Amino acid sequence: MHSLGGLYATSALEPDARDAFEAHLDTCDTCRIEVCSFQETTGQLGVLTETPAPPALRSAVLSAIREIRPLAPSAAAEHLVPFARPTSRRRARLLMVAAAATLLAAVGLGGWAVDVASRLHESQTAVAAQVGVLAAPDARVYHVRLPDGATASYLVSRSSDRAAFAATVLADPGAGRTYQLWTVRRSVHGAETFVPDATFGKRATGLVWLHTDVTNAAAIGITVEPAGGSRHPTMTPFAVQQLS
Amino acid sequence: MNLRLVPASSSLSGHSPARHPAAGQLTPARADDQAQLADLLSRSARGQEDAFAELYDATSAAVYGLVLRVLRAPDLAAEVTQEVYLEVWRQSARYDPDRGRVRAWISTLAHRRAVDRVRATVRQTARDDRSAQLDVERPAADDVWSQVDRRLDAERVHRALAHLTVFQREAITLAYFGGYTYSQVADLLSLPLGTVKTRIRDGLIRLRDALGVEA
Repeated sequence: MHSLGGLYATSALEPDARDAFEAHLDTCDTCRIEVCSFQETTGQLGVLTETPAPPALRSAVLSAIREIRPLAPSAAAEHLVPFARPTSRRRARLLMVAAAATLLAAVGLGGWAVDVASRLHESQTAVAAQVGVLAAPDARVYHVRLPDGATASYLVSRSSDRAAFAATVLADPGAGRTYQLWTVRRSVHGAETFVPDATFGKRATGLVWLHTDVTNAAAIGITVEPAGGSRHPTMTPFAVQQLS
Repeated sequence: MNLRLVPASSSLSGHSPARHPAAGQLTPARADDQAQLADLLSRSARGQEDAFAELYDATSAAVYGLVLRVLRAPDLAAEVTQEVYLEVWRQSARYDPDRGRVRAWISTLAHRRAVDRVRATVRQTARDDRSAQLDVERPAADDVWSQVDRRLDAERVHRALAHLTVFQREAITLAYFGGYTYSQVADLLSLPLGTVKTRIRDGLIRLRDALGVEA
């Protein structure tokens, strides 16, 4: 374990090994100091590849930060990795829901709803809503790919104005952070507006229901945001699904 | 000592690396740079957008260049660079100078993001012919090091790189600039995993010592 600092500092570890080594770093001063010095070293390699960023990027960044409030200083010990990443490095251990369609085929409509209810201890109303969406003639299941390569699903019925995101187990979005769903409104001119929707954490195993207008939405997407959610996305949404 | 990657600048050719013992020490200029960036960061944490703009101007070429090198796609690189700076802004109050200089902090974040993105992208494309794909994408070590400008910082890093064996440089290049995992590096170089691990670590130790980074 002590010899992995070089691989860690060059981001060359596979996700599982990266996890294990970060756990080790919490307890090993020697490795922590070594990794720090290696990160300082690789940081200096940057002078070899300096390239002026596109001018448009500067204004995009400076305009985007106006929507974001800097976090308060944290007393909690921060990891060497300076930021919680939106997708967990524990991805290999994650099991995203097999596509809702597969479940439907496997256990049938009623069985699936009951299964969801028993797993989630949801109210009868929620179960009814699920059945309602599934029974709607235009109900569709969209499979989307998450940044870590896993798949998840959206269940959408525009006629009944209902949509949900389906996942069984989710990566930890990081301390003080949350997943957030967005619906996208597209104007006749093609301008897109992201409308904030439900937030959920890694324990949102099952269906996460959207509460904004789905009937007129052009797309659905997900971001990772500070706890409580944001009014505007602070990162490029992932798992974006165009609705048709 | 391998000479192939030593900087072409003739002004340096007469010196052995050992004659530049002070190459990596924190010069007054670099200490100033750190103090200035740390100040800009703490002002950013208080919401001062003009300070953040200065921080961006001082570091964006390094960030964008690194991300572009790893991703090889300008549009993706711009996207990831923007994500990096939004995170820097958000996390500005949490920067801890005891953990390293501002530039190292930002580079670490940028590199990790770029590598995560390149691996996620690769995962989404066909990986059936993984070895062929790696061959195509394999960067030439010389290519990376030859694009160096003549600035003093780059010469400094170049002199430090001359302390590494060509094998160490090659392994570090593939991992850091290529964004490959170490098992991929081992595949590319037809080496056992342990050998790759040792080359990268020993190379970084030499580089660190040559740059005068305190362990």
